[in-house]
Amino acid sequence: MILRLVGLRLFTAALTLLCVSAIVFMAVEILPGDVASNVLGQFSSETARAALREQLHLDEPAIERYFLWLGNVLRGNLGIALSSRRPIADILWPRITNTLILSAAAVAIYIPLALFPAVVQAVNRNRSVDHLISVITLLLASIPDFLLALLLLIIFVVFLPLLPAVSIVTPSTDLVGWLKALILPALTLAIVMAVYAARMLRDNLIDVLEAQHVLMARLRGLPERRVMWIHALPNAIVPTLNVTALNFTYLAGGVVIVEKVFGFPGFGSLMIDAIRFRDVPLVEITVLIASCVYILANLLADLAAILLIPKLRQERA
Amino acid sequence: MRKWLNPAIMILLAAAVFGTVPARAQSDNCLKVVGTDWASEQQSVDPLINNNVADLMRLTTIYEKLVELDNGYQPIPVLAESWESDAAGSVWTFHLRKGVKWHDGRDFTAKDVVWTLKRVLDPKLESGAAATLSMLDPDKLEAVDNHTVRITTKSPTVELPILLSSKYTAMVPDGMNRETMQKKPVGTGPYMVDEFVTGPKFVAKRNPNYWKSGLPKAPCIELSGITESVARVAALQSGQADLLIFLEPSATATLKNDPRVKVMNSPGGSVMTLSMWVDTPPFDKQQVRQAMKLVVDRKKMVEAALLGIGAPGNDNPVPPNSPDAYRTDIIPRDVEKAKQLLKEAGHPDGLSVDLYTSESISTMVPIAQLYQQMAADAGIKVNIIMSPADSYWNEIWLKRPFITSTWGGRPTAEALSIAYLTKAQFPETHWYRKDYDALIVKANGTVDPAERRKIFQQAQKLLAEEGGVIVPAFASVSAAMRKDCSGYEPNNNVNNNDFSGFHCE
Repeated sequence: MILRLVGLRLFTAALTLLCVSAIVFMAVEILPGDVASNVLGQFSSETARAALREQLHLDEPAIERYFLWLGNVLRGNLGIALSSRRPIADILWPRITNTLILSAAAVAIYIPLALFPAVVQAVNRNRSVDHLISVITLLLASIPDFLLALLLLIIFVVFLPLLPAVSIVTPSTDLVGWLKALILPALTLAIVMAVYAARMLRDNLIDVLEAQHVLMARLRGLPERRVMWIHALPNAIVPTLNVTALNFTYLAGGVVIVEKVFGFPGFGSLMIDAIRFRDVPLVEITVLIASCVYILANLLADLAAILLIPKLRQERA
Repeated sequence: MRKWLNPAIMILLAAAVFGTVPARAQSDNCLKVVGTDWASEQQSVDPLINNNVADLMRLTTIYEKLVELDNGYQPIPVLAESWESDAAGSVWTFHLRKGVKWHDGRDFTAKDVVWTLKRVLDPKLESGAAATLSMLDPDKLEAVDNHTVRITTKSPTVELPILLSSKYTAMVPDGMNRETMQKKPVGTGPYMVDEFVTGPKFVAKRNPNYWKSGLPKAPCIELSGITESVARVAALQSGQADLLIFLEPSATATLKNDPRVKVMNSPGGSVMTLSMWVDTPPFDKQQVRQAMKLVVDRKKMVEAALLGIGAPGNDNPVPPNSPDAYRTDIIPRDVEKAKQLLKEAGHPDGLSVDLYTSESISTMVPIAQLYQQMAADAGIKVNIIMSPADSYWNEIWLKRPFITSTWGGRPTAEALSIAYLTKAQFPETHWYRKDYDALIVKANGTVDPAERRKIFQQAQKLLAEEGGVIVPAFASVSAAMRKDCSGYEPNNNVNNNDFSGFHCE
């Protein structure tokens, strides 16, 4: 039964992806600006532009080009980037790896950043610490990510010159270099994700701390720390897993902004560059992959919800 | 005890990460030059493809031209030591510098110059200079001896040395094609690479055989670009960058008072324009165009829109402080006369116009906004239409009757031609005037410099008084370096970026 449900979800996800691929293709078609003049520059000659248009088959009908492209992509042939004439697969992999490392770092910071304030708040409910943390998380929640990135940059680069202003990493960057490069972008992403989770977790924890089984544990004389971490927290976390899954969908987009601000050579900055320079094949692939991640993360969020809340299982089936 | 453990570990970890970072991240002795942009894939090491700031920076460290332009747009010798022409200006002889070596150890000779110019003219290679150098005949480029090149032009070209300072005409070795370059570019410039790889930085090492003795002083140079202005400024302030080039006015204002940093501005710079189509209502009436010019307070434009980093302009692309300028005083603002002219043109109640602009060049927007306020005083309602930056030059520029634009500073002849001749490739103002064209043709064929200057001044006057271009200001080209660095100056001509003398203590 669950399998059927998961299968159905996977099928709709695949269908969505197909639609997205068509939309991406169309969107690139209607992007303002002429591909040839964007690639060749403002001062290029008309003959050069015409030659490039012919080379890219831009004169053929869009629908034909779409199916040709889709067929190639499905067969794993991602094509050649317009700007560098390099195979797109070669360009993508290092970028994707970098972004995965950044995302992993962000998640690693995100977990304690969400847990600790929530626990402190729940333990000190309605005391001044609780209110203070609430104000701080609310404040952070209302700062847009790019502004938060710039604020962190000003604090940790200009006032406390500890970290690099740009997070450029190359194949020769060592571990220390990587750590320094990752801190600011990962921290930005982690804060944006953590503020919501922390606020939700605090409320859940407070409820759980008053539940019967926690009361029971206390009556049995278990130390308060054990009550909190073993008996209360796991129960409070379950409802926030959904938020975490949704946070991952934020990560897919947030990474684009943060990478751009910090100049991190990841997937997000590649996508922006591709769009800026009208590298059509690269735009199509990167946007398609980003949509893939988004759809998958949403799928996971849904599945997590279905698996965690049995009621949903029955009603949907 | 255990309570202390976690914070202690965290502090240790933090110390391990932060402690290894000195004030200046000095893992090597590379000079760190940061530009405004870095295309991640579109990276060229062929001078014929020079499309963005990153390309420009990279190419100027590797390659050099025959001549470079100074701040007054006069040619200065680089790989050519001297040059002369016949009386008509159609047979040119360039004497090349001796003792210049390519990065691979070969001598730089006349054959290399001929090969380079043939590449520039090759239509298949899509060079940006093929049009401006169309008077060159690929079959009339002649290596007279190892260090002499004779060029016979199709038509008299008095300013050929200036045209050869184009960013596309940097010298490449005989026989070098695009494929070999992309793997290992070879030039005569101050820095060189063993292998070219696309990446988020470009690192090149000192050219030990560089012809300027004792230069470059640094063992290597690292080029990169930071799009985000706050991050770029922070990199310099924290000592992670040694030199920032092409600063925008807001960054210059931030850095001006920082004791750790030196800010430098070129004396003139980019031409900021508001361009009207002279054949499209309401701009087809000369009184309207004159009124739209008279409302501009040029000094205020420099102070407010460019934050003082620039110089006022007189509605033509030649800066008032140039020896070629037709007038050296600044056109005064006259709102009453503007109103009077509008009345004469049949707009007694003022008029309403759409002005297109974009963030594509950051200084265009404040100029448009300030113009809106200035024009309002004369009853001209300017509706600013912001257009997306990435398609502005394809969709709006040359396609709308009233736009903002920017031109890099250029030598007088080129500045007056590129957008204002009838056959111009970029007719920004639809200024198709036979008498103007005739003046430019006459000037280009006049060998006597004083005589030529006079004709250029007539052309400027015509353009300023009757044309469709408003030039409220010239924006300086700015750069900033750490206090203990020296040897680099921003040039009015953005394409002139000589990093050979740049070094830090």
